[in-house]
Amino acid sequence: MSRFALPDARVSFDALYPQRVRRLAEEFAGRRARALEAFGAGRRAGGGDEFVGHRPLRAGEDARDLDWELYARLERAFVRERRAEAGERWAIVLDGSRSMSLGQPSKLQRAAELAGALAACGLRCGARVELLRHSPAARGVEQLSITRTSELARALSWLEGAAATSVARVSVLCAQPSLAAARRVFVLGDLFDVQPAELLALARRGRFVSAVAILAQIELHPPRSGGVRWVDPESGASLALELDERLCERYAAALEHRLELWARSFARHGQSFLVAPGERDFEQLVRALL
Amino acid sequence: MSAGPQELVVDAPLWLALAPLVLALWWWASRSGGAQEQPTGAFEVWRELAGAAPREARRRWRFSPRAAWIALGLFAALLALAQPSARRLESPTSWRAIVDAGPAMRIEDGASRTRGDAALERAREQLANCARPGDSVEWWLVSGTEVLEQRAEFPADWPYVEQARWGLRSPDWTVFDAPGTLWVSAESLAVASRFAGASVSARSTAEGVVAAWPGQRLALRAGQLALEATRSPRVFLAPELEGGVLARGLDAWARARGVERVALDDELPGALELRILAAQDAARAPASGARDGWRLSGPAASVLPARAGASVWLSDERAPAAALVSAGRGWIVCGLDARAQLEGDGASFAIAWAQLLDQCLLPVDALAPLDSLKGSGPAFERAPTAPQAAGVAPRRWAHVLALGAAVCALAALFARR
Repeated sequence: MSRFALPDARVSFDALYPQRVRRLAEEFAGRRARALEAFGAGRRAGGGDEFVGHRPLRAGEDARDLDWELYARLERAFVRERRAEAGERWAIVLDGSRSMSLGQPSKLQRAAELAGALAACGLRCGARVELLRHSPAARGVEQLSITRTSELARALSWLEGAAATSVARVSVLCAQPSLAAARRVFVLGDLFDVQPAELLALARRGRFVSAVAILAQIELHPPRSGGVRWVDPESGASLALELDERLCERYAAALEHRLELWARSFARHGQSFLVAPGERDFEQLVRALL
Repeated sequence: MSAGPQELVVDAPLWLALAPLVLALWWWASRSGGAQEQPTGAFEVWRELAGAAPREARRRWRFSPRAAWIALGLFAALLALAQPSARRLESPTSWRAIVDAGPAMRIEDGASRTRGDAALERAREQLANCARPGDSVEWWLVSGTEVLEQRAEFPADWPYVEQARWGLRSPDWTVFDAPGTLWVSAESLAVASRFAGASVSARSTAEGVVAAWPGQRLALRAGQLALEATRSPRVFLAPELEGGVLARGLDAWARARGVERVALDDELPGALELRILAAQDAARAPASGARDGWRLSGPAASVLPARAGASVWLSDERAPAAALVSAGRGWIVCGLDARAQLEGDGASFAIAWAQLLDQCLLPVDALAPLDSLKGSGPAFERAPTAPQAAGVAPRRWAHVLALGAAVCALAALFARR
């Protein structure tokens, strides 16, 4: 049991947040429509389903769906997206472990803002959105499924009930069966308790995984000198260190190496990985992700 | 610089010396166990770094020269403020215990042990702790400023039983406030000493006689004052004086006071309230002594030199140094005998003689002040200051310590953190 007190990180959306989210969703929908138009929307594709646009070919996908005309013209691999795909499922995994309470605003707050925005974008393009989070009270998992944009308010309310009180790892959420049907999976957390391979295991059979590492200021820029007793919020373990320039440089290098490893691993598998430092708002992150 | 035992004297309260310890503890807590706790999600990264980091980067406890200099400087500065001085001690040291001869020392608190016994025992232990091999201890029994007795051995029998009836009082403590001195008492000390130590026994409510007169006494019993019957005072007159003017005066006084005349053989001397003795010297020469308008003259033997607490009541007119009548607590010694003739004012003689008898007559019972019987309190102990060797000025250390503090502060400026 930890003997220190963590800040009480609760999620709270301000009054402008729903408007910003809807505006972002509209922007996303407009961008998507323009992309569809640019890549020949309205063409009939195979399988009898309505063709709604193109998207990049992902690792493991059937090469028969490749649009050879587009490939010849652009020399990039795109597949035809059908209406059935537009009604795909998105899963948004929100890490609720204790370390998410750090930062100002907390990492949990930023993750929830990002989750709400992603949910709005998913709903706007007709996807069914599954939200998953750690149960605040126990090691369990809580889940919310929404299909219509009118349910966005319910999703936001559900996100406001999130708490960074769990000692379970984020991989517990990623092991949920509901993720199996998801076409896109977003994992939002600090990702310190998980390895890239564990999340990349989700990227099978055309599933696209996006991981967002949300880091607090103290993790990105620790103090350059003085004595600090670092404490692991989950286990309560502690480590007293005398910080100096040399040690901090080594920490920065180690952290960069770790994030590089994530980025390279995800890029190699055609998945996306993003680092979310404190100063970036959720709109920028969503634009980078979608 | 000569060798010899020295004592460091600090005028300021010694608990001030604990202040640097408090600062050191604070510093230690802030640097080790009390380092600022900071939760981080990147704990594993730090742990991996710490595993590979040099040992000194791990911060369980790390010596800081700067903090050490600061702590040392603070300690030296505080000591300098306390104005310490080193005094050369007498070697060997003579310790002196001033023992209270007052009536409270004979009060029994229980188990037939008097308060005086407890105070003396406590004083002996205290002096044993102070004294070094070769030191000597003197015990003085004192009433007011009068030193009744001096002894080099532990006086287990002080104050004597008969002294309880002498109407003695506590010493004038300030007269005996000197280095190497220990006050021994059974009553709370009304004055604070500068140099002397103190050994005061514990007190609990006791019983005893607070006043007495022929045939009756007033006693404190179970917290209440009670009037009790007692025997009459007894006086013995030496046979050499029988039939003379002194004997006639004694008879008149005894009748008026209710005092009983007894023969010495009947009672133990210590139990008598007054003994009127004749000088034992066989050689007698004509002598006379006069006062208050009367004169006594006749053959007289020389009275022995005055004992402690004695006074000369009548001296020889021809040789003023020679005492004809000397008196003390419970006794009168007369050089004149029954042949002495009275001249002049007989009434004045009777009054003077009666006043002397009143003055020397002891009470039947040992008396104790009511406050002492009713009062209670804990034992108290304070070590005496060791006596300083004569003619050697104390060495002052404040300036040296202040200089040391300044050097420490300077060193802290340039020391590694």
